[in-house]
Amino acid sequence: MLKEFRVYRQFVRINLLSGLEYKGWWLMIFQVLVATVGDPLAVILVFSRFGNIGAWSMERILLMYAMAFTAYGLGETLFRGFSYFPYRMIRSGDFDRVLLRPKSLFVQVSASFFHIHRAARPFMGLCIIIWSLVRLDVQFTFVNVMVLIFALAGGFLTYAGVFVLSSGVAFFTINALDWIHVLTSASREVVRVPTPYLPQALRHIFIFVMPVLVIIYFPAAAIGDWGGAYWRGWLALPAGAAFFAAGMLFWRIGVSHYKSTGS
Amino acid sequence: MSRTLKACRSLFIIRVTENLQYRAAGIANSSISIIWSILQIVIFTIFFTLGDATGAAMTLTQAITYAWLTQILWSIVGYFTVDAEIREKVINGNVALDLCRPLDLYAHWFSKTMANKIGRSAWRSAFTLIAAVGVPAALRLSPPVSIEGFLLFLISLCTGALLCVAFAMLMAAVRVGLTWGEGPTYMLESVGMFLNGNYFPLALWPDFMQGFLLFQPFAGLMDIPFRFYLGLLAPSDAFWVIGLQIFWVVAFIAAGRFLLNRKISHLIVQGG
Amino acid sequence: MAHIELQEIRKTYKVHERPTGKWSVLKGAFIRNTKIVQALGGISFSANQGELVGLIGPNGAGKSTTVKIMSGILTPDSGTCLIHGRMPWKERKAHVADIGVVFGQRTQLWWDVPISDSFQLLRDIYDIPKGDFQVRSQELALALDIEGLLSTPARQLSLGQRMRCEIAAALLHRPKLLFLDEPTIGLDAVSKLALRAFLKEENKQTGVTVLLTTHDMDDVDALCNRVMVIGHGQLLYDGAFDGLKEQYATYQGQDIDEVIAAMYKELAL
Repeated sequence: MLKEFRVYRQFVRINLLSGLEYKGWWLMIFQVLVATVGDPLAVILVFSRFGNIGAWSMERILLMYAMAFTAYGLGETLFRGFSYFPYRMIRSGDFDRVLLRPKSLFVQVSASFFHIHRAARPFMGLCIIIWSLVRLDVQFTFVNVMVLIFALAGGFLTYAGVFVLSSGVAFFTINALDWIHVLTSASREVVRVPTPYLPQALRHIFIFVMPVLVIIYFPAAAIGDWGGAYWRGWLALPAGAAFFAAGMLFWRIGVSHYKSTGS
Repeated sequence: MSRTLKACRSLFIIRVTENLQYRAAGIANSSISIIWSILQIVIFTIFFTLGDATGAAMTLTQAITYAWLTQILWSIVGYFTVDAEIREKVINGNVALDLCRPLDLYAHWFSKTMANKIGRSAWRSAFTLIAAVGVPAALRLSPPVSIEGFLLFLISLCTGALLCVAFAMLMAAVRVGLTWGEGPTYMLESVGMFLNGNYFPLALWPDFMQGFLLFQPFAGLMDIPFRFYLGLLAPSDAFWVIGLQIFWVVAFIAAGRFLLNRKISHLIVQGG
Repeated sequence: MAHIELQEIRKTYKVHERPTGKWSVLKGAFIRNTKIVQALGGISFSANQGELVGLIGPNGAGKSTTVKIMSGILTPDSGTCLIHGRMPWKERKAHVADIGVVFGQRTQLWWDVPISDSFQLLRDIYDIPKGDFQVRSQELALALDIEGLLSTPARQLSLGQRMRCEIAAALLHRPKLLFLDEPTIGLDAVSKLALRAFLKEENKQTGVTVLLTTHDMDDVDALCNRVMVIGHGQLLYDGAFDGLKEQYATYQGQDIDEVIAAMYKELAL
């Protein structure tokens, strides 16, 4: 386990070194930061047009939305290899090389790409989270902070699970992968509206199938005191872990399919 | 020149038919379009009915139609990332291979990008359209406001498709010979994605921005065609609005061609 | 006990075909034909530690499928394969720790960083003890004449230089078995000769088994004490290269490629 982690670190190091070989690498961080300013833009525009909905202010929605894209950004940063896998590794046949090395496939693939500038998104997200919490007068008590950290960890696991799952499916087809956006971008859209007003069907899908409401809404409602039981805020991490496990299952199936067809 | 045209035409046809094979992928990918549209419609419905919609330039029904149109025509006017094949060539520095063909590189890539767009989107758009008219009335796509509106929609949609490819080509040209990655193309793409209306219909943005929003190039991709469809732009405005679209097409093509030719000649000198 | 033991290895692939004829493109949008293609139809052989085996055969004959199965990338439909007493596809990690693989057409080095950084990473991947790593990498650098290249990024190396580094990378962890897939493809005469001399010497010194696929018969002639011909998924010849030459040469002093071509023709490959 420790050795595997060491390999992950070494892979990351070599990716960083590769990045530094090119001039202008530092520009990328700035550029991604600029680009991520757009993430909350849609939320701001909607509220500037329609105003608050009851107790639901822009800050509440921004908090949820920022939590979602921080979690997504963390997954994307630390599991870049999986988010690239369908496009960069399967087609090129580089996965053969991964199979030829005596370390876990999972660690090798997850660290096969690492782009430090991707960290700009979770960084931006954290800034917005803190800004919203302050505007909402949320108390930074120990319990609240823990709920938030667990929520982000659960969210990270959920989105990491999405990437792992899509890589597993990529072993079967690489042409029909757009539906993965249902789990990535579309799941973020769900937290753009006040959750209680969501149609029940959607609410159930995004609690029980793709747990974005469990990892975002429950913890946010708990620490913001928006109603509902506080304990639900603690569900984020187990839900994220469960989703990640499901992703791993697909990945395993995909690998064994690859080994039997070689394509 | 005529040889280039001919070659590009046959290339175009081959590509489109080739891409039509991916029917299963089309069905799978239309599911995301449908789900996405429904989510947008849910968002619109909640805010239009529970929020303060008095100043809005659009009704809920129009916003719903806008959401469907965005998804149905997404690959044609919504999505302008550099064509995957071209991108790969540019990144690996294999542009030389395409330079060996007796074709104008810009025209060649332009037709390839257009063909991939149309071929790949056909199935997806068709299935999304079926869903858009098949869902319950509260979520349904409305018919165009008038026959004139519909015709103008079709015309400006074609211009919009050209604009879309011209923009993708400009980004490809920026990317050629760039050893340090995706930064500039990524930024260009983000700017386009904000201002094309896919986040939020441009007509619903703050009122003081409306003039700017209509004149900036990215309105011509989908927002202007959709406004004709919805009747937000009167047929009498067609002349100058479509003229504006054409102006941006010409500007993007000129900039893209200039940049591409300059970079290619640079590459040849370097022996890259 | 034999070091490599393959028994009745079979492998088939499914391929999708577009229908042919008029309207084929349109039909292809709706119908897809699946065809089963046999890649290996029951291959059996064994080899001992330290052998230098050449695997030849025309394109698509099943060479690379054989290598993929033996290296654990691919699971066969049926048959057994024991290498160092292990089934490659069952105990992947343990198996690949004992083998080295070089693909002539693909690189295992990290493109943008100096070769020495790639070696460092391989040290972590294969858990090579620090002391041994130093000894081994120096030894290989010397033998392959790449000491001067270690601080250069892979992308700036010539093909010959890069191939030497690839070979060193594959041997760092002292594998017992080395697969070489067309190692001399595209190399100039000097590099080819140097590579062959190195492989021969390495085999003598460390007793590593070498299994190489190639289209260059001079490689086989210079290196291998045993050659196997694969065609249509079958093992068609297994023995000394000289025997093959004798069997198919129509006159003395005939060019090797002509001999092989005559053989492929006779075996209807």
